[in-house]
Parts: sequence; structure tokens; C-alpha cells
Amino acid sequence: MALDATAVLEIGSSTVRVMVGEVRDDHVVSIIGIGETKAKGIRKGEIFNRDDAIKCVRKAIKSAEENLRKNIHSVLLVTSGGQALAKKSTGFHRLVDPTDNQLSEVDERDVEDVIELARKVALPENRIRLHTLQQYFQVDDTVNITNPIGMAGEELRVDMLSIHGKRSAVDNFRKLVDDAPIPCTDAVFSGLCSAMAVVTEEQKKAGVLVIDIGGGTTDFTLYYDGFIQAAGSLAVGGEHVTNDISVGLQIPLSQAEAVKVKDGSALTNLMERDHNISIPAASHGFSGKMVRAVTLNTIINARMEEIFTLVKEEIERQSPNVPLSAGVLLTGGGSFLNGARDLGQKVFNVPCIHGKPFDVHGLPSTKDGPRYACHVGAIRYAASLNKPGKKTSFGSKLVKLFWGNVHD
Amino acid sequence: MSMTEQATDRTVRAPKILVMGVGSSGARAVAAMASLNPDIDAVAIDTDTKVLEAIGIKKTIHVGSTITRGLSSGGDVELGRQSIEKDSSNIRKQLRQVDLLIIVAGLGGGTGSGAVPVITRIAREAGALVLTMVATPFKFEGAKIARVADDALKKLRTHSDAIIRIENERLVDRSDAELPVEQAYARSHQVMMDGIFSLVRLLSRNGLVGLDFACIHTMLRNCDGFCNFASADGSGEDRAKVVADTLLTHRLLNKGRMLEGAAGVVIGLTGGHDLKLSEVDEVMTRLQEKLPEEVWLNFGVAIDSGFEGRLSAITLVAEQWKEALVDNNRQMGLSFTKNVNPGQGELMLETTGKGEFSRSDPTIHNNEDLDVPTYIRRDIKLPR
Repeated sequence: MALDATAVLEIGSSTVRVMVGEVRDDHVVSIIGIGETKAKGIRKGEIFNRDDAIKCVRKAIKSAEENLRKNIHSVLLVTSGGQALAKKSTGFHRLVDPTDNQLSEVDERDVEDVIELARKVALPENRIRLHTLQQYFQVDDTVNITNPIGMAGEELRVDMLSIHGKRSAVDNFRKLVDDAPIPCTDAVFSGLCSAMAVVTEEQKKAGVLVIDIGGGTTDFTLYYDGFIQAAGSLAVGGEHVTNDISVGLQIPLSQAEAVKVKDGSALTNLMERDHNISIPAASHGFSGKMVRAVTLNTIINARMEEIFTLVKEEIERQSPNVPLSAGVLLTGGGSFLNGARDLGQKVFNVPCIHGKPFDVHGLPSTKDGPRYACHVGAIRYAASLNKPGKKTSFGSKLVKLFWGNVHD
Repeated sequence: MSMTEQATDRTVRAPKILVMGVGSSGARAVAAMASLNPDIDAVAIDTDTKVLEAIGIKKTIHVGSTITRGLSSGGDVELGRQSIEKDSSNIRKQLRQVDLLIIVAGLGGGTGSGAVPVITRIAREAGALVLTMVATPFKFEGAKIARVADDALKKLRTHSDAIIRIENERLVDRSDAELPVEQAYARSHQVMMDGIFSLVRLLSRNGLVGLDFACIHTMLRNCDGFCNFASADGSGEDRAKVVADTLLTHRLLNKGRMLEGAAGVVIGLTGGHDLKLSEVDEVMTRLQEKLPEEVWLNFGVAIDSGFEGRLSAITLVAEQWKEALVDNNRQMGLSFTKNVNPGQGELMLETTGKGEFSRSDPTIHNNEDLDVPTYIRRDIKLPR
């Protein structure tokens, strides 16, 4: 094995999951341990009951350790970063001395300088940088250069995309993990991880949107021309759907969740007008109820359509007029909702399918792949950082990931 | 058999329609109808054995024998409700395999007002579509009865797919001073009968231009209101003109004035093989002159060999419903202490609608709190 196994921890609003895996020499991710538990104390991607949340994290790690039959020494935290957003920035670097009337060649130091400049994008006090992703270089008038080393010109520019999250949310999660206690090596944006697991280079070029619908958050990443064009996270997710059902049909949350998974659909179908759904009685004083499928689905449809529309508006705002030639990929637990893909197709007007992690071994089932996309992506991400000897080829098609000031 | 299988089944076989007369008024109307057209599957339900014996209809269900001991419910809504609850298994048996249940009742009495809401609920549970045709009482019957009828109407809303309201008061006017009381009620029954006949004819889907329950249901869902109903018949050379005239001045449509403010209209025409395009055109054009431009209009034509030389039209007119089916959450938040409509128990909402998120920070996006269910923020009405 080329690399050590990486443990990734995702503290979701509905599930806390630990996955341990390694990237083999042939770039296949091999999953060697999974542990998960139902989340408590987390809502909308933020902690509201720390004690419960710590217990969940401990439980998930313990169950992963049992599964792995080894101890986990450190974890990589996957977070949606409390409503993360992407911001573009540009760095300039003059290559020539004004007195010297000669073009200069770009060398590695110039590249490092210009990236350093571009990275220094000002963020508000309450935001924390999660990732800085390099995009294109520009040498004078020549745009869209992926590797400028050796080119001659007067000025070097680089476009960078910073993904930043809410400082309090990210810091609190890190602290929570540190107090579990288990060392937290870093925090990564889950939307980026999901995308890394399910998007091929072809798709990145053509334009693809990855939407990770989680319990309390929905994360999205838009690729076009090989680079991330937009990314972000919204504090709405599957639990909002459940809550809407619970409120609209006046049934307990547990029944709402069950009926959502079993009978719910994101599409309203006129043919199901006369289709009734029986909601069984529960032990805690709910005496059962008969509801109409069309009522249930109207509630779900309204919420899911809104989630997709919000994502659509956000990517339009961040990066207008990007063609989605490779369609939309859905990952996360929320993508399993019936009709979610059809609705996505309707909203984005492009094919919308499940995003399944590829080149991966050891997942519980292929069908459940979209659920594990962000964990697989995080393992791949960690491996790309730990590569022995920093790869300096900027022409590499892999997205280059530079450290943000997460460690600060 | 699972629900889905049943649903797909239904699209294949012809829908089974059952007409149910509830209460003395409803039972009489249904009995009169059954004697005219024995093909219609009809059943009469009442607490009063006298009525059930007198009307001479084959299928009857006597309810509440232990409650009213064979007498009427005497105007007590609670007795009517109890009677039907006690014998609900009987009703359930009747509703097996029924696709569309048409309930006919006069509101204001005990059995009609008390039992119909229960029956609609049972029917909904049994998986049938429910169309309720109710007559509201005459003005002279007094404020109490009017209130009883009003309450019953509200209760009906929860489980009925469509409500057709026949306002008895509109059936009579000043020129009817000489009208015998018996005939006034008979007129109400007549209207109900006409309505059911035309509906059954339309719904049995033998129309040239299709018009089925789905059309009516769509209209009601969009207009979110009660249906008013009027029918007209004409024969001979100028039958189209007669039909159009009758409809445009129909009493149940408030002498045609209701057409002007209609939100949705369904028009069903039935004629013989000699029905001419120009005649359909005349009726439709003249009606549309009265209708607002943005009205939701749906029309169907059925050809029935029994209608040679005749033309019959049925119109269902939906007016805008003043109160929303699902109360707007923001209004609810303000007026929660006020008297909340009890008839909507099923779809009533909590104060904020935020449910489990009510204790956490709001998620504000574009001045909207995303934690509040989308359908509340967008004022999407939940289908009944």
C-alpha cells in the first residue's frame, strides 16, 4: 500500500459516519472500515447539543474501530461549513522590471508568488477559509493557461476560488472532535468531497453540477472547463422535508420520516389523487392516520423544488451561464427520495442522475454509493495532499488543493 | 392488493359509481331518481324507518337502530353522527370497490348534517372519490337550521373531493308565491336528480368531447371552492337558444349573475345524433359572452340516442373560495387565539409551522425563513 489509511468523519444532521479507507497505487479507493450512528444534537449542520453530539461521534468512531479492528488515531473532518460559499479572486504578478525592456520567462517562483497573492482574499471576520482552488493563469493577453511555466510575458495573473465557511460552525466542529477526544487533522468542504468522488475529468470539462442533499444541509459544486466555478452550502435538507410533512399532515416526526422514505415522492402525480396512505399508529400516543398521497407529495414537491431552485439561483449568481452538459449528479441521503432525480431534471432542464463514486472498493453496496460519496471523496482528497513529494505539474488535471488558513 | 395496484386497476375498468342518499331529504331524492333510472346504483340511508319504507327503493341502510330506535334524529346533529358511527361497518361494506361516491343530502336536519361528514370520511378511507351534492335550507327554515347546515358544509370540506351546493332559497322567488310547499321541496329534489343524471351520464365517459370527474376535480382544486350547479333542457328547432337562455337566467346561478364572477366552469352538453355543431357553438358562445375572460372553462359533449331532438346542458360553476383551505401560516400566527375553524382539524397548522426548527436560529435566505415549510411560504394549497 502506497499510503496510510485515512479516517474521515462526517457529522451530519441525521447521521454521524466514520469511514476509513486508503488510495491504492492504481488510484482505487479501498474502504476498510465504516462506522455510523444516528446523529443527535446536530441540526441544520450546526451543533445544538454538544454532549449528545460528542456521544454520537464517539459511538461512530468506536463502531468504525470495531469494523476496522484497529484504532483510529486521527480523523479528517468533512463539514458543510455552515453555509459555505465560494468566492473568486485574482492575483497579479509583474514578471519584468519596468526598466528592463525585455520579456521575462515565468518560473516556479513567479507562480508561487502569484498564487500567494491571489490566496490573500479578504474574508469577513466570521468566515473561515476552507479551500483555495487554483484556476487559470493568464500571461499578458493569453488566457486560460493551465501551466505557465516557461512562457514569456510581462504580467502573470491567476484566478483562484476560495471556499469559505462560517468560522463558528467549523471551529466548533473541530473542537468537538478534539474533545471526543481524537485529533482532527483538517476540515474539508463536503460538497467538494462529494464531487471528487463522483465526477470524472470528462464531466468536469463539459460542465457538471453535484448536489449533495444531506439531512440538514444541501451542498453543491459546479464544475466547468475542468475547474470549480461555483460551490456552496444551504442550510436546508432532508430534515426540512420531514418537518414540512410533520407540520402539514400533523403527524409525529418519526412517522413523517417513515412515510417520506416509504411513500413520499418529490413529484406530484395527478393519477395518485385517489391513492391514500395509511400512517400506522405509534407507541407514543399517535393513533394512526389516513392521508392522501397527493397531499404528501405536494408538501415534498414544494420543498424539494425550492431546494433545487435555490441551488440554481446560487450557481447563476456565482457563475452565470455555465452549461451543464454533463448534467446534474445527486448524492447524499436526500437523493434517494423518490422522484428527486426527475424533479432535478425538471428544474435544471438537464439529465439528473445519482452520483455514484467510481474506482472504489468495499462500499456496503453500489446502490448506496451516493450516500457515501463525500466520504470516498474525502479519502481521495486526503491522499492527494499526502502525495510524497509535492507534485508541481500545474498541467495536471487534478484540482490542486492548497491549504487555507484552517490551521491558523 | 396494495393501493398502487388498485389505482392502476381503476384506470382500466370502468369506474363504479354509487349514489347514496342520506337523511330523509337525500333518501327521497335518490329514491325518485332510482325509480326513473334503475340502472344507477343507489342506496338510501336514514335513521327513520318510516321514510325508508315509504320511498320504496331496493337498497336501504337503516342506521342508528339502537340510538333513535327507528325514529328520525329529530334535528339533532349529534344523534345523526352517532347513528352513522354505530353502523359504520355497514357503510364500509357498501363502499367496497366503489370508485366514485355521490352523496346526496339535504343539510340542516339531524341525519343529513350529522352523518354526511362521517360518510365522507369513511369513503375517503375506503379509497373512493367523494362528490357531495347538498341542498342548503330555505331561509324560512330559520337561522338555527341555516347554522347547522353551514357547520356541516365546513365539515364536509375536509373529506369531500367536490361539493356541489344547491341553494334551495334560490329555487323560489317572489313570483312563486302560489307555489305549494310540497312542490318547493320537490323542486329541490328535481334539481338534485337532474344533476346526478347528468353527472352520471358525463362521468360514464361516452362523450365525444371527453369530460369526466377529473375535469370537475381539477376545476375544484384550482378554484378551491364550492360548485354551483344548473341544468337546462331544450327540444325542437331552437333548442340551443332555449338551453342558452335558461342557463343565462338560471335561478341557481343567481339569474346568471354568478357566471360573471365565476372562477371555473364545466359545461356538459348531451344531445342526440342530430346535434349540430352550430348548436354547440351557439350555447358555448352565448355563455362565454357572460363569463370572465380568464375563466377556467372545460366543456364536453356526449351523444346519447335517447336525446334525439333534445339538448340537455349541465353547468358547474365554481366561485372563488373566500377562506383558504389551508390557513395561511402568518395569519394563523396572529390569530391563533381567535376561533379557529374546527372543520379543518385535519389540515390545521401549528402556530409557526416551523415544527422541530422552531427553537433554532432561523435560516434566512432572501428575506424568507427557510425553516418554515415551503408550501406555507408559497401559499400552496394542499389538495384535500
